[in-house]
Amino acid sequence: MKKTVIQNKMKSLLAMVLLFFACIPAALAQETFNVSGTIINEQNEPMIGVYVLEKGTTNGTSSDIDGHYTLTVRENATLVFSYIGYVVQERLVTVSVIDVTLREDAQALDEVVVIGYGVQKKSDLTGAISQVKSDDLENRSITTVEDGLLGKTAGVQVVTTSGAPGAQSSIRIRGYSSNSDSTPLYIVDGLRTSNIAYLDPSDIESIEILKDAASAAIYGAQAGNGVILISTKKATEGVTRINYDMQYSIQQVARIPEVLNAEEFIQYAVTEGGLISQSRINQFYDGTTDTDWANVAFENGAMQRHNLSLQGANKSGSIFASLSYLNNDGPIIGKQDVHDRITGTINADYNIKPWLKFSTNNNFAKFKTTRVREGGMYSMLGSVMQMDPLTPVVYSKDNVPAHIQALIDMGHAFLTDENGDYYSMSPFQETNNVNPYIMRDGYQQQSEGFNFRGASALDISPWKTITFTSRLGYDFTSFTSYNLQWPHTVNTDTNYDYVTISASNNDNKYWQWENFVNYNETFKEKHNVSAMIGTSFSSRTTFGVTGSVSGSSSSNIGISKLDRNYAYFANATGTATKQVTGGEKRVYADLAYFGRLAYNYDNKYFIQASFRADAADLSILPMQKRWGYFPSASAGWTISRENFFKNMNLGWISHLKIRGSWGQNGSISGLGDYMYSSTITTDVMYPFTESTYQVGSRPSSTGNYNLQWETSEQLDFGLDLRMFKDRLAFSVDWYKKETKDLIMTSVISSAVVGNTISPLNAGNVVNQGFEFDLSWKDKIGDFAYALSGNFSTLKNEVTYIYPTLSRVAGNSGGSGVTCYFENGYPIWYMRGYEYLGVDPSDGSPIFNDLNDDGLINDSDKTMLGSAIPDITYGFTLNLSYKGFDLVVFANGTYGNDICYAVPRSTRIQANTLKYFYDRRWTTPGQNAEYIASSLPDYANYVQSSALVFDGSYFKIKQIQLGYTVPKGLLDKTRIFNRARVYVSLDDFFVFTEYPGFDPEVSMSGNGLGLDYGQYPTTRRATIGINLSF
Amino acid sequence: MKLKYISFILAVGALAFASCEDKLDIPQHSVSAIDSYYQIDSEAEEGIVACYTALRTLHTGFGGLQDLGNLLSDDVWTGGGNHYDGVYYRLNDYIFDAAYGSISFLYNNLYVLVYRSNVVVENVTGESEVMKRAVAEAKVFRAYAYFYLTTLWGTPPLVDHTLEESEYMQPNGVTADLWAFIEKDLTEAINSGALTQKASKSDVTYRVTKQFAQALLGKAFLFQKKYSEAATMLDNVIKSNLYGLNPDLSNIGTPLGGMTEESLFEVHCLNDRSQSGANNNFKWTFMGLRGEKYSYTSDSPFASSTFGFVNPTKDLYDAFVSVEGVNGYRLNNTIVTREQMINQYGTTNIMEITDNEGYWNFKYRILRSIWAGYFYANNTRVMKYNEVLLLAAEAHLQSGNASKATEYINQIRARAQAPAVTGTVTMDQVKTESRLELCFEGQRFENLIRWGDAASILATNGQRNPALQTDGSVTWTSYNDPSECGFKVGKHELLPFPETEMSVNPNMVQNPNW
Repeated sequence: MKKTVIQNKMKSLLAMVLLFFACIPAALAQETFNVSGTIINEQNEPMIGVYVLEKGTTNGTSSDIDGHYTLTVRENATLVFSYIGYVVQERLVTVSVIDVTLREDAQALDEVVVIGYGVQKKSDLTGAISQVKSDDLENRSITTVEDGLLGKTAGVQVVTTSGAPGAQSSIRIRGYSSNSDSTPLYIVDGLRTSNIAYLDPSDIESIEILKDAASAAIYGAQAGNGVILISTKKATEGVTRINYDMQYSIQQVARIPEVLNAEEFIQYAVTEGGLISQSRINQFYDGTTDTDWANVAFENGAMQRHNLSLQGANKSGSIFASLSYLNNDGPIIGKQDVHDRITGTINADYNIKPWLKFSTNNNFAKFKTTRVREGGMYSMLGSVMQMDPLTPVVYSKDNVPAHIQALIDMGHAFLTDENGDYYSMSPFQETNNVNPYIMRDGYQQQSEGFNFRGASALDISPWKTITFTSRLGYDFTSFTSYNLQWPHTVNTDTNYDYVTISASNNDNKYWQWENFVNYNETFKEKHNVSAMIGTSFSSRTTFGVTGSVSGSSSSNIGISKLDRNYAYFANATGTATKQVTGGEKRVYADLAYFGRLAYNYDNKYFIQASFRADAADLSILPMQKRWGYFPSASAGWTISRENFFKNMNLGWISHLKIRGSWGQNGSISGLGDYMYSSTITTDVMYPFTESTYQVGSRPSSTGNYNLQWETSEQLDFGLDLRMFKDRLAFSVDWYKKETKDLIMTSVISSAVVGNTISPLNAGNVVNQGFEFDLSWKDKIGDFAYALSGNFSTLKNEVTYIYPTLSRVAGNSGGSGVTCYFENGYPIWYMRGYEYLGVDPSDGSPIFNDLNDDGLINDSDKTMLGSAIPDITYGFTLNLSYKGFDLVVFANGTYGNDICYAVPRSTRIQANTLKYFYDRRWTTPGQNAEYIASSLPDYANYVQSSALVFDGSYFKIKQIQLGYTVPKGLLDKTRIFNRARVYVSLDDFFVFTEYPGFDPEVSMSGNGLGLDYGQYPTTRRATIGINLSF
Repeated sequence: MKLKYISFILAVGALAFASCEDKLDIPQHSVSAIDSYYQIDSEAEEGIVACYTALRTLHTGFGGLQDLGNLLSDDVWTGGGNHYDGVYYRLNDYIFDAAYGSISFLYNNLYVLVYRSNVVVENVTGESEVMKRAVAEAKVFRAYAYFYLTTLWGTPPLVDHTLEESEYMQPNGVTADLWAFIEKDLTEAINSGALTQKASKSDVTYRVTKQFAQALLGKAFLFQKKYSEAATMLDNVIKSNLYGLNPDLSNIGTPLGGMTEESLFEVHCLNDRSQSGANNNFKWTFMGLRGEKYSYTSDSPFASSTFGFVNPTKDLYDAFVSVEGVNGYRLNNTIVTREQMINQYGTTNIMEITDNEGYWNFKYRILRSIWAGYFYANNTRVMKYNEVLLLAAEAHLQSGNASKATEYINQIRARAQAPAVTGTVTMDQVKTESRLELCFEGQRFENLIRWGDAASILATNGQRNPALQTDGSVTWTSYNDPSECGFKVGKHELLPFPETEMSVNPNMVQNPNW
């Protein structure tokens, strides 16, 4: 009964669509008759939604659910059958029944690529643009679009700084271009945005990555780190469909490094190392406890995603709507690492008039994230690695050990579990330990927010060759955070007897108005000209307030009652320390003019040039330097279209093209907040009388009114090749990208300057490399297979730094190996002592005394490694046989280093990796890999290459097996159009020599490659369903 | 059908309309921009106040301009808790290098004073009295900074405007140009008519005055051996009749004796602990007695929690005695002996004191009645009238007017209650008089260099140091290899440019032998 209802509804919907088409006025003056038929594909399956058009008219229809169509046409008409991804067919109407079999279009060459303020045929490209399609994102247990790009295309690196639910990864296109941020520019359906975490991967139609400067130059001042254009899904003409995708994953920490168990720990820290005295063990150790903290801290997390989408389209318009829900509960025990997100998308367009089209793309997202502390000395993950195994998880409230009771008696606060039992504090390593549960429950870190984003446009085409577009983009974002630190004792070093609460609220309003005209015309069949010119104006208004309240002691806890229900500002006591910042409306704006001109002759010779002029507001750059001008030029030659080529009997090469491009892009990542300006500081005073002072004022800094855009200039040469009837596709690119005028702050100046120096344009970075993409696809009967791979090399080097800065220190991950920005080295390379091994006589470390002065000090530090991989690669294998499909996707890096930055010299009693333990020095004369358990010269040791590892890894990101129910079977249900179920193992297999958690995860920014307690990625076992109605 | 063309025309119009560059002119909140500042009197005054505070910085904390001059001389032992207390012994022993902290502190802060003066000279363009005064004062400050930069380092870069980024790496300056610049600045300031002048001898002003500028210019001439110009210029100050010698020497260096008729310019402090940053000068705490080494009776005037640096040498004491005898009025208000400490000043049970020969600095004694927990508001005497007379005497003597020189020296002798010079004064007498009058005021080192006496007088600095024993005897210790310490000809005439400066500015050439 139910089935029938749905079936009837579908039919009436279809009828409406047909009715709609019937309303379109057709030229009915001539004699007409009806044509009908069935459209099937090569698998003999009926095709729904194939568009059937009477050539030269606007008269058309589309096929129904059974592939049937009927159309009234004039005499001698020609029918055009078209469907995306299939070869268009034309048939002269000679009979009244025309059945058609549509073949899939192997000529993907003529796919259209989004290029910024326009589109271009893939075969016309002269720049280096990579495309990632929805196929690569669908059904993966990834939660963000960024993660979906990992390993999918050459030249794009995804840097994961945390695997926590809701954490965002950073994308690096063609290396690291700035000492500040190297995040690319994101454009979603024309809207410029700084953050794409709100997008659900299932809503993505395609992602274009503009890698070379010429392609990106149309975005000028903000394109220096590359541009990522994201198009969300739109309805396909003639298709009305409801899709439902569901996915459920069980996740766990992918790799837990082994640390010492109780027996080993005693051997290491007590018997051999003497780090903990035997008397302490005698006094406090019960002889049986052997806590596996990883086991205590982690559990299986669960993640579920649902995506429901509706789409319908006809000749006049289309609508696509979707709603997604994501709930990701990470692997840390309890609900302290959870990310929730609801995303809705509505994309629609309509041809109001033949010359006027309105389109709109809108997205609404709401998200909420709860996190644990990660990274640094007091992080949940670091504590899992370092807490000794001799201490139990909790102490019964009825039997509190003396070392805890003493602190309780002093009035210090201890956290308890739900039974009221105390979370333990190690008696063995009192100043070193952190119970992971204390790290988890001592803090509450929450953030939530929503955004409404979108762009709506009017296209006016008074003539066929000209389209004017006026597009308004908008982005409203609200973000709040709430952080609580509850009274707790971490160890004998650190206790908090009071509450600290901080919370903030930030609102962002952004709008952009872009107007541009596209012109496309072909002269004499062979001269293809296209041109575009436009302007853009955007404005952002932000308003935020941050407040904090903090007590100072157990008698002044800061809030009126020690109850989490009272942990809000309103209950702050009069003696609490309160602070409010923000509350100031900030406005930013920019203005741009841009244009592009392209010409090709006979699709053989291509040239293209673009130009953009960008102006920044005064908070970014001074008035006289506000304008930046970003030109580009590119050219291509499709050799395979040459007659001589055709004469060379190279028929197996279907497409061969070489191309080259040059361009300049800007970057503002290091700029902002009026940093160039010199303002008046009134921080001095002088008495000119016997009793009063006069206030003095001085310039706060020198000011640098010559501050300008960071500019990257890039040269790119590429070759595209398709062979064997397009089954094999290959492309290679070489690029060299030099970013100049990096913004350097804290420049130490010559004293003669007499004031603090304002930031200068004073650094250059060069990235260069090769990128290869190779794919092969074929079909043998029912067996189809496709293999695609990509491979990129990268060489990154700082080539200039202001002469007064010998090297700029970045993050040190505590007290260990430090990252530096220095001329002649990769950006933020790791620097420290070169570890030569262990002195066989006493087990102490030997460092390379570079200047041979007999001392190991600062002047002996040298480069220990770089987190930037020499090579990154990825490959995807797709197999399908009848209803079964298999996807295997893997990626990897080679030649990058990672520093295990968890140990530090002030925490010698911490637990250590079994990896180090098994390779330690124990007996005189032994040639060991690592130092003795007594940790000799540990302060230098933790700053040495002993902790720097080869970070190369190979990961099988996905193995997915799916089964699609045959169409014939589905048709009988009369409900489903498509049904697929799948199981998947994601991030399950990792191959690396790194002994820490996860080689994929480490710090970014100025601590590149340092791993000090970052949240690792998880591995996930997933089941999923894809349904279409 | 027309509608589409109209729409298109409107749309293209919109394209042009979108160019609204003025929307980018978003002003910064809560700040004042330099360009529009210093245009009214109060702002000009703020600018010059920042110069006064920059000058104050040169005399704040131990290791300032005067301490450097003291420690590099033959007048004092370093002192402190022991010889190695702090790193100051390196100056006194002549074993410092280009990385020495006080040297870069002074070098950097002299240029801060130059910078702030440049800001005022460049930005204050108005014609009001206050603005003209600000510019004139700024030129005096700039000249003051360059006087020390030039005399101490020889060829520091000449920076006469706020620098653009392209100008940050200045090469060494030319000494002659630097002197010319100092003369020009001071001449312009003096001739501007805008500088403050006192109304009478008893009048007090805390600002720099025309007479201070003249005295500084006279000193600059003298340092260049332009004796007659120096004499003329310094006589201007003397003839102004606005300054005189304070007959009471008892508080010449304490807070009770500040701002007398003798004072040409002092760094002014208020006895206001709430603004300790602006008023406290920590160097006084360094210069007091090493508290724990003494027992005190209630008669002791000395603060007792001070650090014991800068003890007079017996050589200095003997110089006083040679002029005025052991009971000289000036001597007894400048240096006290062990016997006086015990019998007159209630300082009993003196334990072993390193770097001490049994003499203490009484001129700058730290008064217990005023010292309050490391807070001690005592003005630094930047220039006094006695120095003007001494400089003038030297200028006249060297330019052939010995009688005038004798007259000036005898004015000083008279105030010191010391016997007058009989006949005409000699250069040696002028030098000695200068040493006695200006001791502990940081002048001695530069004068020895100028006179060419440094090589002989300072050659043995650091070779051996005294320690006062509990019985009053003195023992001697060598802390350094004798060949490595002491003044080295061809090197120590100039200080080294700071190591950091050499590393950040490739255009700088280091002074000889550093």
